[in-house]
Amino acid sequence: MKVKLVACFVLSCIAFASAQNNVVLFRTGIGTYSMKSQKSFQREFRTQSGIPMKNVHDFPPYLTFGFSAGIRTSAASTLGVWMDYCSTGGRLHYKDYSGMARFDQLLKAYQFGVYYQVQINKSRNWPLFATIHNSLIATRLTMTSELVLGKQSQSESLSLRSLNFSFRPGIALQKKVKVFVFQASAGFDIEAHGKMRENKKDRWFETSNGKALTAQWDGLRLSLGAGLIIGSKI
Amino acid sequence: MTGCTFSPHNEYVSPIEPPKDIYFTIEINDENFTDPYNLVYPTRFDFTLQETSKPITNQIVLVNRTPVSSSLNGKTISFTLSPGSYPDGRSEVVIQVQFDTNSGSLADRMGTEYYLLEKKITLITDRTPPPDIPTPTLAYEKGFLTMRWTPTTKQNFVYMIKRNSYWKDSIITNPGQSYFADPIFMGGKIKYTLMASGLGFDKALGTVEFDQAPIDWKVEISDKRIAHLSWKDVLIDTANTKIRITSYKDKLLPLTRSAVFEMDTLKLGDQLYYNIEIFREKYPNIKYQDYRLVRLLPNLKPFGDVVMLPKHQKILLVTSNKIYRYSIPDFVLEDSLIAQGINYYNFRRTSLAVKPDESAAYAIFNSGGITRFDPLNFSDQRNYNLFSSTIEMTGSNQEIDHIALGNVTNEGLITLSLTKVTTWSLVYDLNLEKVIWNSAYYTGFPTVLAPVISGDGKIVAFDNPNSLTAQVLKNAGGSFEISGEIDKGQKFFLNDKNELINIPHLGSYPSIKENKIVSIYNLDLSPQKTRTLEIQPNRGEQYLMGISYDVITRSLYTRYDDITGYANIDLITLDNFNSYKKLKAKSYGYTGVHFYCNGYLMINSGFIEQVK
Repeated sequence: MKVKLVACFVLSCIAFASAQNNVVLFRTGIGTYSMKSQKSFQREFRTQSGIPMKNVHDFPPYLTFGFSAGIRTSAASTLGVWMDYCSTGGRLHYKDYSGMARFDQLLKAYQFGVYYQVQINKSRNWPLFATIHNSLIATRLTMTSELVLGKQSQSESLSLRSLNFSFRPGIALQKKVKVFVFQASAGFDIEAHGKMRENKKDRWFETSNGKALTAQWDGLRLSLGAGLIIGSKI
Repeated sequence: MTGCTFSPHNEYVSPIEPPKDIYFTIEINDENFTDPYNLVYPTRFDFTLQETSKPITNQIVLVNRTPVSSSLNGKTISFTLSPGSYPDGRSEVVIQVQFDTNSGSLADRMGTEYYLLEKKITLITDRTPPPDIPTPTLAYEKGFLTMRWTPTTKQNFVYMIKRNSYWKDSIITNPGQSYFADPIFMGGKIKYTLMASGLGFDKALGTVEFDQAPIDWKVEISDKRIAHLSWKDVLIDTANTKIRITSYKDKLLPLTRSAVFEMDTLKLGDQLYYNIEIFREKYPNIKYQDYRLVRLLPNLKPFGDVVMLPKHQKILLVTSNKIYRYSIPDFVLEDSLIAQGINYYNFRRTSLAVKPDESAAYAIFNSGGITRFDPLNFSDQRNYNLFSSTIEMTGSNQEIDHIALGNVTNEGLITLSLTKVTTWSLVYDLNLEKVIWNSAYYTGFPTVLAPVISGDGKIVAFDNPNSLTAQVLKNAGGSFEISGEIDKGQKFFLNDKNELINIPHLGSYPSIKENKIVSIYNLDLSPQKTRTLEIQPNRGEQYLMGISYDVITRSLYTRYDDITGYANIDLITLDNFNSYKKLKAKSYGYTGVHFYCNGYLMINSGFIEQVK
């Protein structure tokens, strides 16, 4: 199986390199995340702990990183693959002279998928594309609780994972300078919300409303990227 | 990639300040507790912290660094230590108390922040009993029976005071104590055993006995037969102490150092138990009890028959071997006459008859005849030989078995019944010394009631044992002829001639259903019943036990005995058959036969009182 996958990857690279006006793009941006389920879980943990912890991080927007590689399929459209990495988290915290208590929820996600873009204006210098990104999104949640009283401390950590589908419609504005290409894009991620399970165990958490704990990455994605046009005739 | 990942970094720091230090110690104020403490029995310790503004959150008790079970209830820490769990010697007890700081900090909320208070005490366990001591002593001290002994130097035991009664043992936990003042003993007889009880031993240190009444009390009877109960010289403490006196009355009084109480007025022939109970209010079931039996002293000799001489204010008493003469109303014994063999029965006029003018008395000293004597001068005597006088009538030379007298007239006619195997009723002329009338003989009736004769000697009435009725005879030309029939019973002439009263017999077991009828007859012609009085056999729970007639006061006498042992007596006038006097006396079964005569109530056990 591994041999087949490597062979497939090598053949794709040869095909990609032999084509003209193909684009490789690295990008960074910012994403906002719904995370309703995580926020609910955080509130319930605080209530049940009996400790007056404050919510100091509430799953804020945070940086995303990714790249894409596309093959020009026509004068105005491109088909390619892409990957993004995003993260966010929540924290409950309390500290006084006698000790400290905290509860962290750190979420990281990798998105792998294909995209397709088609130019929707006629400008050569500032082409504007409508984009569609589909992907699998693999999420890892690490929950860590820690209690420190004087010289004694106690902590516990737990990881959960999920794998879901994602669909992101958007737009992208490009500018080509010689073999370089610059791009600004915006999109809105819409996801399926599968339950998060403990590693290698069929166990999950439920919030007080009876729903399983999930990672809800739904939200706005803004990014800036730069890349190369491979196979272009200058 | 790690640098590109979100990392939580914000913190919330509470401004809570640490609680201030506090300083306090535990002092054990219980005077029964000493440190080191001799653990003798499984002992429950209750330590109550009296001045704590901080709530107690936890407590730990360690004995020789080993936790023992303890509990917390409010401010009281409790645990039980059993001496058998520890070896002889000293053991260290550490009591740790945790108080809430109420700071609100995280550690406070987690229960790990508290003020810690610690108290150490030492336990001693010792299984060696104390040595012997001299015998304890017992005496009343300040109103309490107090045992004293010589304490030992050992501290590993408690004293147990065992009594020879069902009372619970008293325990003295201080081995250095040298006395025990018994708070519950009220007096009397008791035995104490002083025990030393400790871990693995119960040793008797001494036994002492005591027997002394706590109070000197008595019951005295005054001339008016009023009982006075008094006491003095009370040895016990009288505070919160009661005395209950029980007789006819029930009195509950505070016990004083001395007292005199008028209790009861005793009845004629009375005897009465007086019971006292002395107890402390705190221990009402632990009592000193004592009793006295009080009897009235008789003022006459016990007697079987009695005749009153109202004109001379004398009483003649007949006993089994003497006749006594007393003066009335002072009851002074004046003279006595030996009368060996005299017969008397529980019927009136069976052994002694006196002329109405009191000039002569007649008694049966032996079965041979009648003895006449002067009731005022016992030395003046004369005998009448009835044996020879009645040979012709009886047709027998046998000795006379028995003679019962009736009455005698001033003219010398005396009635009697005479038994020589068979029995006759007869009238004997003391002047002529011969029988002037006799009945037919009866068989099987050795105690036939003697006839009665009227004062003028003309009418005789007698109960015929062979008939259901009594018969009346009249003297007609020197011989007595039957005039008619009347009821059976005791008969008395109400005058010298023609009026007679009949008192029915009650028998040994009087009927409780039938009324008894007292009848008065006019005997001028054939007997006519002129008046009757029906007497009920019972009045509630009082039962008729006696009916009689007193010739001197012309009074009917009825006696009803009640269930309390007393006789309720009515004196009834013949004028209208109404009761004119009610009396109370001890009943027959307690003191003897009752008599009423000439205004005096008598009991044949020797009691007499004038009815006023």
